[in-house]
Amino acid sequence: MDSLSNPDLSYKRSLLLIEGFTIYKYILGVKPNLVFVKKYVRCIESLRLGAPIGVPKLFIVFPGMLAMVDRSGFENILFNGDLHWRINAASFICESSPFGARAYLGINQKQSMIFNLCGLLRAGFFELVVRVACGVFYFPLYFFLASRKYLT
Amino acid sequence: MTIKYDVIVVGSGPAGVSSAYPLLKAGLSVLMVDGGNQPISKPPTLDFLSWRTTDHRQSDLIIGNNFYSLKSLNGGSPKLRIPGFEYVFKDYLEFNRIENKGYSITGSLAAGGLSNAWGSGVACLSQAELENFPFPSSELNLSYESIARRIGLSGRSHDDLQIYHGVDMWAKAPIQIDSIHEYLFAKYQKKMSKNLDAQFSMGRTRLATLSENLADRKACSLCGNCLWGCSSGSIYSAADEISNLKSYENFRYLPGFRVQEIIPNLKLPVIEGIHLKDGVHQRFEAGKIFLAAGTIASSGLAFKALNLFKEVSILSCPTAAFMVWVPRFLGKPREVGFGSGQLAFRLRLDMGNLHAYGATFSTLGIPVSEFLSKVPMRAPFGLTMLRNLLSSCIVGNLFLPGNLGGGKIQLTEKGALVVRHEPNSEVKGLTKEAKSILARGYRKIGGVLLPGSFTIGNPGGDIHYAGTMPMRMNPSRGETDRNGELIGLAGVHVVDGACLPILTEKPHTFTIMANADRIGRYVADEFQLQK
Repeated sequence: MDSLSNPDLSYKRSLLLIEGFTIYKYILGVKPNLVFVKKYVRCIESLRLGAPIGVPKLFIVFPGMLAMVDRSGFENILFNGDLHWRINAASFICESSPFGARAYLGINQKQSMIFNLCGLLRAGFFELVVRVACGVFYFPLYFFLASRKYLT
Repeated sequence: MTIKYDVIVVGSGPAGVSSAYPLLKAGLSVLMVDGGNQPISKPPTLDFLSWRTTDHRQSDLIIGNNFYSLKSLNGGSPKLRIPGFEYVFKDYLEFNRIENKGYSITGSLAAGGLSNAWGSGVACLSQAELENFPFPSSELNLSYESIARRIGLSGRSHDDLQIYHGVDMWAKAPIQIDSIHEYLFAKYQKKMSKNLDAQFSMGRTRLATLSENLADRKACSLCGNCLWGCSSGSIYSAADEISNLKSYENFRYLPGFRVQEIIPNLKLPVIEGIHLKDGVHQRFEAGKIFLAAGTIASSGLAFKALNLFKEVSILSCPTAAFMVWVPRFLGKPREVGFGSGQLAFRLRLDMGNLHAYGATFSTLGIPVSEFLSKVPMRAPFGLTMLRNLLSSCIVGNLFLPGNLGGGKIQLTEKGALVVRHEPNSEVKGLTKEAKSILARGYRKIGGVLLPGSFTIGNPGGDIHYAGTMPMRMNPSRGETDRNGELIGLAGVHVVDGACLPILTEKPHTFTIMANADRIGRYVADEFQLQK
């Protein structure tokens, strides 16, 4: 109701919905449950005065690209260092549900030494690839974001 | 108008409760007051995995309907972020007008105080350690026994830390540990045990958690909810003892009466405070006042009454946390088990000729997001790693002796209590040595100290505060005598951690309780003699 009577609030809320959707898609790799996204919006409204961080369109279209800025120097430039906190908050919200508990604790996943070792290697490999890519594509990404006036 | 009691106990935590028993048994009239915060939710009753996989309202337990746990995501113990414990820590800094400068402060205005969120580790001080106290060690030993029998201990085990913990004569059998800890302990006993010169010693934790039923409290059910609150009352909480105290006719309990000051009086000391429910101020007069509000709050009240504005040292243990991976258990399904400390260890640090102490825990009861926020990896990859790794890991904490904490506390003339941190240059080297001993020790028994996991905690983050008004043989103003009586404020006894002359690396709550019991006995005897 608040958002109907206040266009600014409505606009901010829609940006937060997109932001939440993008962050969840980035963390989980799948389309998130709307309940999590709505709770994320409430959380930001409650603890961050409802201010969206302004996720660039590139990341909205390709949420996986957030890996290029998550825990990198870009996080401070683009998001005032708040992306990490928001990812953590989104993560807690998702984990505190039966779906999240299963996904985070790996309860439904097959458990064996080989399977888990493959999971570890996969995580390590992708982390390494992204770190290398961050180094290689740092300047192209910087200029791309600068040309779109995302960087100040 | 004032009402007179024999003794007023300020605070209903472990120290307050322990000091009250001997007074009540001697027939003295006792008034106990506390901040009055009460729990607003109940801990989970199902085992950890059951409620996590079925309860659709679990976000109230994990993050809280006001997003409580997300307000302080950046540091400190996960326990401080549990919404069910919000009432324990609420309003403490504001009411006591505490300004922390680079030093974490945690305290409680709840019935039962910080024991509501206690990890329940216990140990006695050794004879050598008790030589720092201005009374014979036999006095404290009597109280150790009395407290142990009342609260119930577990962990009795013929291991390398049996003498170090010093509680086995009163402790029941240990609580069952999970398979990773069982494996590590078996390997340790086979390879390293009995090497008394070893830098790394391991044993069962000794706990104020029940392995056998005791009165209304049930033995631990291994539900894995230790971090979230113990629904069976297996973990000791002073709040559970208040109902026992109420059975004494000479006891009056006044929750929600927050003491604002002690008024020095030529005849009898008086406390003045405010009733939480109606904001009415009231004074109470007593023959004796016992300060058991927790080290920092008690210091604030005492310094204010003494007009003591000098800066004094506060003892607290520098801490660290770490994670150990046990490769043999990679791929092990998640297992519900005991959620508090399972194995304890002691490290001999050559650098300072001192010891460090710690315990290790299962990773299960802790939200995965707690780990995810600290893993130096991108979120999706970190999550994949943790999902595959955590079931084969344990986490641990480490404590150094409290004289290294570097805390300073001072009452300002405006009435604020400023607590600041003065870095101690020794701590960095000692934690580095501890890290290397831990890595070596765990490697020998099949574990790997995960690189990057060893993290030094914030100053004051241990929540072991002590020693602001230490007991001395020849105390000066602002210190306490052998019976905790504050010099400069006759009739006021400090019975909590504030009067400890030393703070070792061991769990300290049991010693605080025993000392409070000892002071309670002394005052009870004193009243008897007067009569």
